[in-house]
Amino acid sequence: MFELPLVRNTKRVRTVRKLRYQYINTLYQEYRRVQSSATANSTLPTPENSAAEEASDGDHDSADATSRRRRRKRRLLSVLGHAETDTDLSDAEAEEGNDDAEQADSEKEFFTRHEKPQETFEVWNTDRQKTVPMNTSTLSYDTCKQIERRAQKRLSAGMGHISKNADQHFRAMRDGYEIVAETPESHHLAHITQLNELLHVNIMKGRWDIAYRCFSILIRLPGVDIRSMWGPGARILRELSSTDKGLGTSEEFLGWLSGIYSSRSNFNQAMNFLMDPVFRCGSKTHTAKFVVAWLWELLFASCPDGTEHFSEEDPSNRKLLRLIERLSEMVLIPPYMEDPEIWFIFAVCHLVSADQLSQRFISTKSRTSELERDISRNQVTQHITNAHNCIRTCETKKGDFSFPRRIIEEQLACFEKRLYQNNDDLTASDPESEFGLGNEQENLDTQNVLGPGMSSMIDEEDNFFGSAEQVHFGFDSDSST
Amino acid sequence: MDKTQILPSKKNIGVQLGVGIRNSALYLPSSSLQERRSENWLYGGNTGIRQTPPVEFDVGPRQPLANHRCETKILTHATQDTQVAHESDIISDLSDNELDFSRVYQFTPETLRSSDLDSRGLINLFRNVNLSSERDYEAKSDTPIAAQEYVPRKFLSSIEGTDAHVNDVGVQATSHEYWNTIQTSDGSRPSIHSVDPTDLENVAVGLVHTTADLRMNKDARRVIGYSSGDTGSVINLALLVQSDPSDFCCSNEILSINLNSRIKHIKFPVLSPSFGRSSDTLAILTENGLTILRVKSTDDHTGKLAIESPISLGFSSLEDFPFADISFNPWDINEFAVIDVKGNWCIGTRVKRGARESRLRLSSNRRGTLYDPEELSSWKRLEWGSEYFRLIVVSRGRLVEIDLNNRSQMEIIQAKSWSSLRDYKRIDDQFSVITTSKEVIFVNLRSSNIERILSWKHDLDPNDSTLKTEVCRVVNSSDRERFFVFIYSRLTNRVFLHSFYRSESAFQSIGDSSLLEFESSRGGFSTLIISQPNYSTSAFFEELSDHVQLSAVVRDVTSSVIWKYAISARDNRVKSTGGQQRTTLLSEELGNIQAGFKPVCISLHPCLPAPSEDHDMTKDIEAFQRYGYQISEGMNEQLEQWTMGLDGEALLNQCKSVALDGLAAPVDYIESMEEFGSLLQQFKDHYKDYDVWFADMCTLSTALLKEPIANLGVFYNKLLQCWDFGVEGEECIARDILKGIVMKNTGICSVSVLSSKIASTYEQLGQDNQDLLDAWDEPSPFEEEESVSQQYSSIFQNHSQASQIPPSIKSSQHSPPKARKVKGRTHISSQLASQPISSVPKSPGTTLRAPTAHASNVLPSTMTPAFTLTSASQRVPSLSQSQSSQRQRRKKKRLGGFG
Repeated sequence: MFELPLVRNTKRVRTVRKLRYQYINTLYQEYRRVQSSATANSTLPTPENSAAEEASDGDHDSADATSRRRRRKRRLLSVLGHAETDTDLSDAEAEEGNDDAEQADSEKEFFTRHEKPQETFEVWNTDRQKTVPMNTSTLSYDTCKQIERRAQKRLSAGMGHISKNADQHFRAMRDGYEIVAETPESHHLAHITQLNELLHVNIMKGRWDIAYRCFSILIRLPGVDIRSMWGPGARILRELSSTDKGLGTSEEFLGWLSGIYSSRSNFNQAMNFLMDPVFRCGSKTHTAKFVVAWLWELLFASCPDGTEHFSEEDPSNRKLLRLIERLSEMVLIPPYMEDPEIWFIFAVCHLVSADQLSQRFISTKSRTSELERDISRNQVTQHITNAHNCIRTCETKKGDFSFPRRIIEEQLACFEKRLYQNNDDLTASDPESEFGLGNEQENLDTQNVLGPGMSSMIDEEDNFFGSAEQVHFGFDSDSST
Repeated sequence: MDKTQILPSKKNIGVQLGVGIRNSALYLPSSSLQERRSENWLYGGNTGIRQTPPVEFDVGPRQPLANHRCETKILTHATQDTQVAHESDIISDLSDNELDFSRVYQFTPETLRSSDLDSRGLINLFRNVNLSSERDYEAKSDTPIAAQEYVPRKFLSSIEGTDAHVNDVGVQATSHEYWNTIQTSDGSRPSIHSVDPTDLENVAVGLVHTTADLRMNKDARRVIGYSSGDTGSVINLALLVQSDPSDFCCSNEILSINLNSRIKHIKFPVLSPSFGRSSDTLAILTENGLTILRVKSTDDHTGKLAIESPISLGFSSLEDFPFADISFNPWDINEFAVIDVKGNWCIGTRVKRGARESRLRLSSNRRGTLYDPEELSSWKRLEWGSEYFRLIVVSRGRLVEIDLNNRSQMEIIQAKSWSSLRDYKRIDDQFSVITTSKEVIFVNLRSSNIERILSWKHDLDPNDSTLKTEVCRVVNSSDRERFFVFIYSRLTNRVFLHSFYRSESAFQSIGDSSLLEFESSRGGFSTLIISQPNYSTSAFFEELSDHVQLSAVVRDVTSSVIWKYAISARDNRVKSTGGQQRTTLLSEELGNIQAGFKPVCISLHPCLPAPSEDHDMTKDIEAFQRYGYQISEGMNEQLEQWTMGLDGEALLNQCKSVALDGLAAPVDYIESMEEFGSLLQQFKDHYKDYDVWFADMCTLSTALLKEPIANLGVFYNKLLQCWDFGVEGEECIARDILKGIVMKNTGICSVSVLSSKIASTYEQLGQDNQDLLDAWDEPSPFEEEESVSQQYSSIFQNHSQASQIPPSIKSSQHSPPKARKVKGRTHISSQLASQPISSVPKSPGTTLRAPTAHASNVLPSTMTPAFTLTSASQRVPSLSQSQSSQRQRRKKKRLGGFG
């Protein structure tokens, strides 16, 4: 029922895969041929229908050069009035291409037309600007059958020696049916399937120790790729490490993964991969998902839920400093350098430390000396500056990272305000914050009660942000650097 | 915060979550924008229980909702008291249905022992067969479909013989058999299943608002439509009556219409909420066309539905391909769109007036194709998008948005590399849920650019192409709602459930996924419908939806009954008010969870035998001694029983064999298998003199290891090499299993009784059978008796063969009648055969016949012996003789050829 952390690669699967790619490649060629002859015969090329043709190829960026060249040639010929000879020509060329293709890897050929995404499982195009004209003609039964018959004919030569099962599998697929998953073939696979099932079921039911056992057996079995199942592992460890001190934490596990599996390799579009890179691994252009998860987890751990704020000796504070240090190193090398999410995490790190440091200005105002206050004030401003810088870098990176920028800037402004709040009106701000704390302890469900107060606060900050923030910020950043 | 996405995310990716991933998150500083809570983060994947507690569901027992076999009898739980008379019918009918798929003529030990055979009178070997008059098989001249003379291509090509295999693959089986089993040629177990992806939903529940009801200002009615009949071509419509707030049942009046073609999809239109009403039509896609029904009126008392005569559209009206999906425009009652299996789509309208044949009209300019030569599956879906002019077309590899106003299209998703699309569900004008083979994705289609908001990696088998989704939306308040995403498959009866939460603009995943186990449905689900909770009566949803009560309408793959399940949230969650209480609450919860769940995974460890550290070998010996006494005592008793009376009815009992553990309770714990083996050996040796037969150790070892091993210790060691349980104390488990095997399978039986038993059985036989037996082996009756007795005595002295006890006579060969024939036909040969064997190859004229007559006595090595107990010792020489005679014969033949 669940996804196996390995590749099932039986002979039949391989044969059918190969046949499938061969078949759809020939179908694609045949369809192109039929379509081009239809358009060439009916109308002269206009910008509109050539755009439609472009669209029907299904690839805009990675259209191979040969097809483009062929298209141009055909268009020129048709303008010159040689439409008839043109079809012959394209026929011959298609045949040629086909001969080559059969020698080459048909799967590779298929993927020259399609991009292999790294960040998501599918290629997503969400920009409504990129629409293409609608394909208004419909595909008639005759044309479809003609294409299919030709493709089958071409393929039939290679189908003489395949096994009966593979043959039937392929035929069913060709007729539009779908093959449902089959039972595991070997004992080894059956064993892995069972364990995998138990692992997922027990995670869902929250039986963490059984899930842990399954996980630890599973990752030791040959053929199992730990990178396909780090998510469950991290989840289990997060639950178990709090009670069982002998186990590593999920941050340690993810850190280990990030150390072992590097992101230095190039993702080769021309290679045939059996497993997806999306959650599994990273490359020079794709930050591995477990690295991102690890950084987030470190960040969460350095500022755990439910803690009230802390002194400087707090271990979480040290964790945060170490994380900032690590991030500042990471953003110098390729995949992280260009990844806006890493920069955003970096920004949030500064944000959190600014928050933690500026807290002291509210809570422990009396005990600290003026010198200490100055030092920490400088620290806070530095963090705020860094956060701003990181956010700016994050926005310049490709990939269009979206985040509630206004909220974060409001937060930063608020932290900055804290620094000077005490000097101005100690007595006025204190009871308010005290009230907030006490209120929360009494009653957690105070959303409605606090609602109006909250909104007024936002407004206040908004004004503040609009008027005074810039002045303070500029002054402090200058003085600190 | 005008954007719908508040959590940080990359464009085109959104928040990408999965098990163990809870980023991205938003930092909530201690005293800033958000109200103060004990949380510092707003997680993308929230696993905590503080902010929004995850809801866990229990699946209630199943109740039949409708069973198409008895269309007039309605199986509703609530009205049982009025239908007591029918109950037995219903039950028998249900069981009948359930058993449809098991083989009837299978003889298991239970059926043999059952009272059917003991009772006098008629024995029904086969279950009663209801000859249903299936109207689909009748040829009707006036059906609109029959006029088109459509013969499937596959049928033609299989007749021509060009495409011999296709027949096995594609041709639809009749009735509700969804699995097109690809038979291997030798009739062995099929290795692959193919499934028709255009079989979308054959059960649907929807709201119907008739014009009369609208005028009377009545609410819309819920109607269930489902297919039935042996070919699945009868559409049944029934009103769903709300019997109490959480339960509903079918009305008694069911409207059935035969559409003469297999039903693939039933669809009720969902109108935009701005209309404030529901449509009164429904569409049915069959294999060769589209039929639209319009409900005229409903009767309040009887629940009877009246419809206008159906209007239909043949598959040939678009491009000669069967339709794959239909969708209604939510903003225009009369507009619909169809798509065929190759991706040709067209907008159509339903006109009120005109000839009945032309009331469904397809537009001539608002059509197009999304044919993709790289797409082989005929699965296609069509839905209306976020606006009245936008269509969403989904195939396995692409998701395309068509803009009818600008006459443009846009490929939103191209899934050709790592995943493929499995299902698409439109939640409302704004949000949709896309299920791929890897993830569940929430998409916002309303905004200026399409947004991929949140995805959850569901970890389900990516090869399972039968995954389907059902989304249930529970609105807590105007801007807080929960989405429960159910993913079901035809392969399993467990339903994956994951819940999501939207509060204003933040989409989150809540808690871990869970599996709902649906009681006793075999195979998976072909359709699962979750009834959407009624918003008007759900004031209590305000309170953080602890009491979510859903009901599921389910039809599983193997049977045609429609079941109803109640799904209710576990309400053991008390509202927590402080931090201290929370800890105690948690532990309680855990207890409840464990109590609530069925013990699905077997808790292996407590029942496994574990090696005890303080094991004393001396005690072991004592235990063995004690056991030795016990079994010899038991054996003596058994011997006494056997020798009690040698004739009469007691004889039957005496022939029964006993297993070793029938004699005495086995030893608890065995440390050394060798010791145990030698104990058994001694025991066997001791009783050999008493005409007792023991099953041999070699028999067991050949069954398990395919090699004969007489020593138990060696046997055990060999087993240890093959068995790997992956747990601690493996040896101990292996020992325990082996002990069990030995105890259970070492048969003991008395040999002395057998001969008298044979004699008495022989006497009981009728004359015919006696004759047959006489003629069985030996031509001469005198010799036969002798040899049979000889044979038996030699069999049991030499018990090296794997055998069943008591020996049953199975006529696994048909040679006796043959022998008789030979005997009758040729007098000479029988005479010759009765002569001593050495004298056989004397005259060249008869040598050809002699071995065939002889074969009745001495079997050739390829034939199975007539008796399961065979004596090797006696036959070996004669067998070799026959072989030598054959050799001689061959020689002779060659000589003859030369001569």
